[in-house]
Amino acid sequence: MSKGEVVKPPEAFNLGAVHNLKVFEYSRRFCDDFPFDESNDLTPSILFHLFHVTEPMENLESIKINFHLKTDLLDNYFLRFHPEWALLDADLSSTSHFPSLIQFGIDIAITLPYLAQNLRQYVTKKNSDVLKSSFPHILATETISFCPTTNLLPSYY
Amino acid sequence: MKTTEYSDLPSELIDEIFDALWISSVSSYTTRHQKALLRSCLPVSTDFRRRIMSRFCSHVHLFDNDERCITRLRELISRPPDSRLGGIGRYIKHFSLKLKLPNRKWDATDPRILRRIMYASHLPAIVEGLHGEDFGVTQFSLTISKECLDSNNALWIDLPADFRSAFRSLLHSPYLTQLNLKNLTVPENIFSGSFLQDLSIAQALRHITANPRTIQELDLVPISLSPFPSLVALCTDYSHEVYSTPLPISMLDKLKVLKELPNKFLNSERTWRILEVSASSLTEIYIDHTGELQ
Repeated sequence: MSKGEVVKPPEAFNLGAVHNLKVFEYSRRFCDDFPFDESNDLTPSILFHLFHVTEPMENLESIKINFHLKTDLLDNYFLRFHPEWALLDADLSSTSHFPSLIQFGIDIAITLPYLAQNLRQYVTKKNSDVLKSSFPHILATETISFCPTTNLLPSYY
Repeated sequence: MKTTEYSDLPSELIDEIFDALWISSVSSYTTRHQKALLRSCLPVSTDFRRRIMSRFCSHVHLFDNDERCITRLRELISRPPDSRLGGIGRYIKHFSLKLKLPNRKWDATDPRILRRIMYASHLPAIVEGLHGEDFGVTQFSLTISKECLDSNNALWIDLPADFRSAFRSLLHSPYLTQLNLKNLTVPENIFSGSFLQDLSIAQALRHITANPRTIQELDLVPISLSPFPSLVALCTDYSHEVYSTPLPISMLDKLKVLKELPNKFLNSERTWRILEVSASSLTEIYIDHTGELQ
């Protein structure tokens, strides 16, 4: 196992077993020691696995996903469309399986280096666009509030 | 106001009055008159005193090992032998203790540094004074400051025996429902018999199972029964990894796992295991599955 690698949940376990779950929040932090490499990032895969349930999660009201990105590599500020986001989108927008889901949030907090301050608007808009296009079904579901946010934090370096 | 009229007032209304009096007295703009007003309530009656003291002493934080403060608190916490009035221990609901080096002359590499800091201290007596037959703190926090630690975190046996004894006794208080430990690794069997509902353990010693000597020192013993029959909330970083088996928690309602994976030896298998074991009861899950931000 490499540094910072996440272990996936057991194959036989997903959150369908947690019948009473109301709130789920999952955060990842990345920095130069744990660089954000979206092509190898297991977050979409883990979340899809956790929520790919066969029985309805009748009590689940809120899912929140947080990314904290801090790096000097410009390329690592951006989320990209991931095929498993689409699978998660299809699962979570199923009102038969998630009848109580009213909030789905993805927050990205980015610490921009000083030299990249002029890219603030671009970084914010591009991440927001990617996330909205990744979850079209949830976006179209009136009962679920989905508002991805990107917060740019000041760098002190 | 006559005593009979006062006693006729609903308790909730009296609480509202004392709350307002208390809030006005802790404001940064408090006048001398307001402070005097609060002080003048103390000798009125035992009920007045109880209501003032329960507000004044509800949160106590000992952060700087100041022996004068510790000695003074020791004098106040239990009932003085020549007094009809009880000590203030029964009014304390939240107690925080942070052990720090008294000054930079102390050697943090000394393996007995905690015992030296706490040598002949009144801290065990203070902890004993935090609970009794009909009262007790509801929340207890113990933090070992990083500056007291050389490389590893503190072990249970690093604490003086009299403090360990007082702490064990406090853990059996039915009033104690919330415990926060930071930078201290304790054997899981000390939780047996506790009434904890909310446990936070952070920055406990890593890789403890890899070192048989450390296990022996920690007195880790196999346990057949859950030491946390009443636990509903667990907040931890990777600290639950220190135990050789997953914490046997069966009725957990809320789980927070923060800043996992600080290095390659740790993984999230235990987190998934807790989720499996507590699946029937969990309603809130917060996982920060990540490496630490530097």
